[in-house]
Amino acid sequence: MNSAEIAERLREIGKNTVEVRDPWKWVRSLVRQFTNFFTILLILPAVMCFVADRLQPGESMNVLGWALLGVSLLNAFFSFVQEFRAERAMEALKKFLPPKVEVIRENSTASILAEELVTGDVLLVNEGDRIPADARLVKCDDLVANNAPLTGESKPIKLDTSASGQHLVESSNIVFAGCSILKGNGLAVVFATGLRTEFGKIAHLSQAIHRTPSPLERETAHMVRILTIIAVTMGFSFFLYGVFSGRSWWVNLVFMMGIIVANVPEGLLPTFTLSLAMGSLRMARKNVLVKGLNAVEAMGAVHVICTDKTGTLTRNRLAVTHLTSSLENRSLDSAEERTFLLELALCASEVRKTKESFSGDPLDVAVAELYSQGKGDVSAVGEARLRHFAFDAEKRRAAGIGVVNSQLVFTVKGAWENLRPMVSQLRAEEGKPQQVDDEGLDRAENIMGEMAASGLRVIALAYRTLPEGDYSETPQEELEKDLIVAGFVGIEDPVRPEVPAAVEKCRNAGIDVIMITGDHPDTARAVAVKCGMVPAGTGKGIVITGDALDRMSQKDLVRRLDDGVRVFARSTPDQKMKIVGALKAMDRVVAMTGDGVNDAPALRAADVGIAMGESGTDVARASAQIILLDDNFASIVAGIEEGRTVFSNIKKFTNYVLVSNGPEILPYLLYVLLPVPLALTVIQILSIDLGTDIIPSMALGQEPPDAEEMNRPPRDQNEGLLTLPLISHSYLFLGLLEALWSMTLFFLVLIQGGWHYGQDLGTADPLYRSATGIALATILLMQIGNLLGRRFRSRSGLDGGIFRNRLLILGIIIQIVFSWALLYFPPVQKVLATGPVALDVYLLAWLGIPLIFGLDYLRKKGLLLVRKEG
Amino acid sequence: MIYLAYDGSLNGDWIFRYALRLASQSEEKKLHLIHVRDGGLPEELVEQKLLDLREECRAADIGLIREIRPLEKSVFQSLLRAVPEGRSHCLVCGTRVRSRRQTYLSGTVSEQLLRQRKFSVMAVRVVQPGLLGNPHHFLIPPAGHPRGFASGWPVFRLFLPQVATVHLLRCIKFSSFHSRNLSLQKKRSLHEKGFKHLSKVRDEILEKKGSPEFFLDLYIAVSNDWVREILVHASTLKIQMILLGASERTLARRVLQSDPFERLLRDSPCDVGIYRGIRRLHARSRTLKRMRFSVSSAAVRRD
Repeated sequence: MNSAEIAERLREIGKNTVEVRDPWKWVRSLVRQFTNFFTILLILPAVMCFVADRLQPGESMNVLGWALLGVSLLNAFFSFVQEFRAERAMEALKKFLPPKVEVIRENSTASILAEELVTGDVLLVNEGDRIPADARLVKCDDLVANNAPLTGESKPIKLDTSASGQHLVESSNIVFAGCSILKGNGLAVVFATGLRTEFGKIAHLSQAIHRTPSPLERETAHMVRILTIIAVTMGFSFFLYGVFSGRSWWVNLVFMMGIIVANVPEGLLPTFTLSLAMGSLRMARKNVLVKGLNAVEAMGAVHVICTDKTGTLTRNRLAVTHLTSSLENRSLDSAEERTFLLELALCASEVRKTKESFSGDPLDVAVAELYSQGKGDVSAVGEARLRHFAFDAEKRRAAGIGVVNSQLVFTVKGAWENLRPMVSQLRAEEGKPQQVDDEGLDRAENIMGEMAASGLRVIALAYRTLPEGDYSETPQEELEKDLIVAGFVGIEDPVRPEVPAAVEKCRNAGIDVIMITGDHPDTARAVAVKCGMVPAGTGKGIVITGDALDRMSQKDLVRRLDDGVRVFARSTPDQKMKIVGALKAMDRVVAMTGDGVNDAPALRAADVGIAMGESGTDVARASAQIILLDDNFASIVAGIEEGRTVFSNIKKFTNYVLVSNGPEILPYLLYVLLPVPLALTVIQILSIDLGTDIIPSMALGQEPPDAEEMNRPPRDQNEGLLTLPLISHSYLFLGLLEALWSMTLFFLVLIQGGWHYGQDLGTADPLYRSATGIALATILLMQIGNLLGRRFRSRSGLDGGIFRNRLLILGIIIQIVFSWALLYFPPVQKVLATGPVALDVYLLAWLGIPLIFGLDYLRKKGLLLVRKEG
Repeated sequence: MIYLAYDGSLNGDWIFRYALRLASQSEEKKLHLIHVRDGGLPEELVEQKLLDLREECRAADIGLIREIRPLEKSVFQSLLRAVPEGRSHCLVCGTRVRSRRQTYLSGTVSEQLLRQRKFSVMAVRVVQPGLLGNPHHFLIPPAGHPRGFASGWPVFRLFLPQVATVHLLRCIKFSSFHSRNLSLQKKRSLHEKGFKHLSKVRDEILEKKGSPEFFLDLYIAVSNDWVREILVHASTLKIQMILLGASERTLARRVLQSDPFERLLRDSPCDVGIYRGIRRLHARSRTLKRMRFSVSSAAVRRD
């Protein structure tokens, strides 16, 4: 290609970059934070406060305005930072691509920037290179690649130039962007660049897939919408009523603001954030690191956990547990035969001795460990090997030529299905090969099947003796004939001991567990049985293989999942997206685990993406919301329990916070309807919502999990945070109680001070200040009774380790001290415009605590009785 | 008959492969290539390229009819005169970025061609020239039109023999505010509605397809950004060609939606084909003709 054509190609197809251009992304994100309902709802009263301060200075309305603005800014900034932090996957992905590459252009080698690469370029590929684009090999010299970023398998893949009929990512004649060359060199013609490469597609999905709003986000939006409608409708209606009834605009404005401020629980959302942050800390102690706070609660709403097998359900510590003959499914008795089998396996493996153990493919390491336990010298076997054929993903086997048992042999190690066509003999235990027909091969296959069905990964080993000669250039295909099956190696990855109990817990909690693995279906099913995911003796109907999944429509997949499919075997990481899609189509909240680069899209598409902390790649960790520090399935379940507790606690303090709205609204209604003074000013309302209610709310957020939490099914997605029973209980029962008692004491102080119905009192009048002071103090004290009652749905709240929750005690102390200070401590009196009352009246305010607590307790008992009778 | 608007560029060569492919499935087995002399490229170069294309046609056993036309009022006018009116004629053209204007379709000859109602048009954006106009995996996002896939069928049927998979995607657009607050019931009912429509399209395709066998699946997406949904599905499903229809919309709508089609063409992980079939002209269509064309809302109808 000449430079003009290169320029034309670059212009038509674009640069070889995996980043989606979106310069306004962060600006949009920032704007979004300020355009949500809650922020608007806080900003509007703030603006009104500033306007009011300009109209009538000296009422400290500007202080209120700044307070409201501060809360809204804090919330928006917090959300923005969280979103910003979640977008680091791109940086991790970029590290997989080289900055510069060597190409042949106009008959000479040139080093160019990787992003200037175009389709049709001839790429020079050398050992250690990272590949910048997808390219088809046209020349290849002993090339071995690591395609782990695409396949998730870190096995070396042998490449060649011959055409391949496999899936694109399994093709042996392609080098892929993001992958690396382990050995050899070659030439390749670029056929896809940038977002059109397989790696680019992963990168695109990692950026383009937007996480669906978490259940809590949806429910909060719903709650804020309802509260906004109530607040604005009420405020505006009474504003109009005031205007038509002849009150001044200023009074009506103050009144409308008061109604809105009283209806909006300003402290609720910041408390949500604090509660989630505390929940995330508790989760971290259980090895569950949370990146986005919403994921804390989303974990609690999970219906399905899609989990990897290796390392999560199992220990990822492979151990050879079975060495069997191909004629009989029982362990080889002869030590010589066992050694022979292991030496054949090692001849086709590549393991290196390290200080502690061995390094290499985990499967090969397991073989080497067993061999060395039997006093064998792994290095000696390695030295006796003359040639090694790396694992070929397409052929699903590795091979080697070496001296085993003083004989020159060619040995092949791999999947039985792929070895079978090359086999002509089976080796008996006494070492004599026997000719075999199809029936004999079927019997060997049955043995392999039985081993796989018991949860073992099975590797077939075959060999043939070679006459002396030079085999350094002999093609592998030429050697792969007339093989003798030496036996099968059964390798087990033991199930983590804590997993069956965790799976049982999931079952009790109504959570489905689905395993996604690249293993053989029989192995996968056996592990599922061992984990307790499915009962022993379950048929093959619970398993779907990757090939079948490819041919399955989403509708069929949904039906199969409904029918009880719990295992996806021989599947690839990119199929996880299909599984997530089907589960979401079933309206399930999905948690998905992953560790590889190609797991990133599924981690983003799931409601909760969980990356592995120990074995996961940076890309997976950056794409997930949750990082499992110990890669352990049991930790996911612990996280779910914590998530459920957080939601349950959020519900408790929402209930608690909304109760004080009742006594905050009623004074305004009386003020506009009757000729009576306003019992509560806006700043006094805010002192409750943004002051005294915060610590008690946080205390409820700290309550320990209910013992029954994991014995209930996941909550109904239609069940919002703000339900009708919760509204009725908060506003019409507890709220009304607080409102009535506080207003009673308000009027008691007024009447004792000589006020008569219809008399107007100035805001500076000492009598008015004392009356508003006792109204506020009564609400604060009654919130203590409310706080205790909110701890449990049916129990009193005085039991169950009340003193273990230190924030609860602190919350109660704050309410008491503040109720006293606002009446008798001059600096607080000054800020809140309150005054002192007689001690006996203050003691009457204390009566509010047993009143609200007692009546609520009676309600609980009554409900229990009704339920029992029902 | 398949016509190709060929400008002599590299992109033109890539589009030629699509036209060749479609011509090989047409009854006539002929490709009518039209080149308008607009002075964009030296005539000798174009002539040389045309000779190469003739060789390719010969190898594919397709008859090539060359028509070199002088530039009239505009390239569009010249092409309009060259292609006869009728449903059986389909013009294949390219979408390509021009040096100064960074748009692929908006304001181009291809857009003008898609707006006219004389003959069918398919505008193709090629990002994987290595496919040689031979895609096997398709993503079709029907717009929810009551006519189903009637306008897309004439083009799609020409791809049929090599089709391996077809994914039908119905995007139901919602504002970000609404989609955030969408109840499950509402979402479910939208899914059902979308699924019903897609099932109709699927049945239509299965009924018309005849012998070729391929895998067909249906997807519904409720989103505030239909372009993103198409791109995400194209990447996830390893699609080789997105095939979608175009329709008319007012200028205002186009401005409001800031031409999302351009984003689709720019960021697509695979080749994109935008088709527009024609119906019988009637009085109302003349009014429609006066309306400005906007492909931006082609793939999605607001529910």
